[in-house]
Amino acid sequence: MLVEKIMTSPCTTIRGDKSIEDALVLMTQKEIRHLPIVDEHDQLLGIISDRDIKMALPSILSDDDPNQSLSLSISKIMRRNVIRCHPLDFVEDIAIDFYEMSIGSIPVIRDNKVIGIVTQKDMLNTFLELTGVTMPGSIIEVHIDDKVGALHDITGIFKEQNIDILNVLAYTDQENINKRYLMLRIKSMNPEKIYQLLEEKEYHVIHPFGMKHD
Amino acid sequence: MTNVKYIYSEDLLRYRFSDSHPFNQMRLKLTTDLLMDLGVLTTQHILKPRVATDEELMLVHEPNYIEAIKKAGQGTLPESEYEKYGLASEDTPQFVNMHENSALVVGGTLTAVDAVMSGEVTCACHLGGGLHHGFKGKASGFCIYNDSAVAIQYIQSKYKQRVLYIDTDAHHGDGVQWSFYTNEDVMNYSIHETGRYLFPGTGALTERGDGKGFGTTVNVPLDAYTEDESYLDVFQETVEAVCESYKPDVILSVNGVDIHYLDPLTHLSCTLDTLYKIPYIVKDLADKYCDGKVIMIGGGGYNIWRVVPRAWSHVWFALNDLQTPHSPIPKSWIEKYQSQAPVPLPETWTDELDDYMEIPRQKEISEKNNNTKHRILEWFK
Ligand SMILES: [Zn+2]
Repeated sequence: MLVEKIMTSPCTTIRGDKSIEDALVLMTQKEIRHLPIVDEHDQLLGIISDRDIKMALPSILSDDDPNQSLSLSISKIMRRNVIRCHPLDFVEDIAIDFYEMSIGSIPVIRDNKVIGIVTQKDMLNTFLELTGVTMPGSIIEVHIDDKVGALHDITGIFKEQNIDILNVLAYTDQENINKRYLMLRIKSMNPEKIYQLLEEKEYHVIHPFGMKHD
Repeated sequence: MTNVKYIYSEDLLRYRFSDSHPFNQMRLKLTTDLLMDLGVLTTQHILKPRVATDEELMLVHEPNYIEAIKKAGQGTLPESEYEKYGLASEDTPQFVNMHENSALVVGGTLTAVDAVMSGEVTCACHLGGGLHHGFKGKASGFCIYNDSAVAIQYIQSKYKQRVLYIDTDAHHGDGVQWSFYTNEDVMNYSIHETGRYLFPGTGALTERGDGKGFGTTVNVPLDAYTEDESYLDVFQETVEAVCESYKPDVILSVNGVDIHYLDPLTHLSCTLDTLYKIPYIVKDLADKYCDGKVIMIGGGGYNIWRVVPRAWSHVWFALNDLQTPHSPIPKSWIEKYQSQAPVPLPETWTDELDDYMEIPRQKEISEKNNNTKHRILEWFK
């Protein structure tokens, strides 16, 4: 999957000569937590988050006047050396940036201009969509041998029953590398027949808490 | 003069996808006849369901979806369009006159709503309703039109009243949830088996509404094999907290009875005891917070011989402040239906429990449910 599929574009930005207060008002208005800072050519100068602003303001316990801090230029507190990405980057790759750098957002740059932004929330939503959770379905989990054709045999049963498979996830059994777990999300409220057919073919279907439902 | 109405006509049995489909409204006839044979339901209680108009359906559903369902029922919708409207699945396949028969289900629920909201009666029930999986533009999970969602919007638009929706079906009421997810004027409470394995897969604790509607969606996901004690404990405390905080004008409750251990589709493992208590708990809340105003509708329930008639009878008992009869199930009822039933019909009001199984991890399951309960109670402190 490519970044251009999941980014928010266009995205809200602010010019470097604006004040911290302007940034705060804009972020509240647009209900966003990350704001790229640009020059007059939309080139990226830096980025701030709502947390950066909170940290820049004097503590409620101090005697400093918060209004004075609010009128400072945003470029005073922004983070420079921002990690950036391109619309054709792989989502999997920027996921590693998010993880290793512990950052909340990554601006998307094309032709030296900020054209969009990807946030942690976008990343999580993308992952959730990959699991198929956005479509109503039942989940069937099968413990299978890691061999050629296993997926073909299993999905054949669903085809025979005319049941739509919404999503397939496969992951290795950590305790036995010759085995895999196959998680199928299917468009059916009534998977009993499928359970039965899988078991007839001696597939090991995982039931809730390993119990069998009769 | 009666103060409770029962919405029913045999026409409701025509909401039927196929002879072998698990959603079988024969259960309405079985329940109605059982209540009549007991002498607690008479013709003066019964109101016939009306047909919902297109405008009423459009309170929730998209006009092109309604058109598609009309055409599908006449066999004139191109098959290439089936997938788009959810009709290509085994759960909700096309059937003849599907629009008319589905609009009657919605109309039945609206008949119950009007009877209560007009002040004619204090409470009403329509066991044919409760199709909580229907989406605004797509059929899903045995449901074409979502009578619950239409009824909620109808109460809001026509009567301007605050509704508390209580859904005790074993499945998450996703169609209703997504219809009102950003709406602050509906409190949407659903207690169900977790979506870890079970359809529709949603209804997590963290789904709490969005925007202005944040906090007006409450999901109580319970683990598979929850059983009576933990179910009732979590249900009673959370639903009361929600009701007390929201202060509704009226309650609409979906009484799916598929939480029973003999239900073929789910794994909550409750007995009739819990199913009998649920409608009384809801009725008590209505008495305490809404001057008794409550509309109870049906929902799931796929063991139509041994579970549904006995469980749904108690919806009617609760609304009429009656208790479980001391006498056994009327012989007349058993004789009428035994030849059609593939299993022996029950003779008493209690579970036989001969095929009930012990749950090995019950303590852990109850503990986990208890954590869920406390997280929800925190929100309403
Ligand atoms: Zn259900």
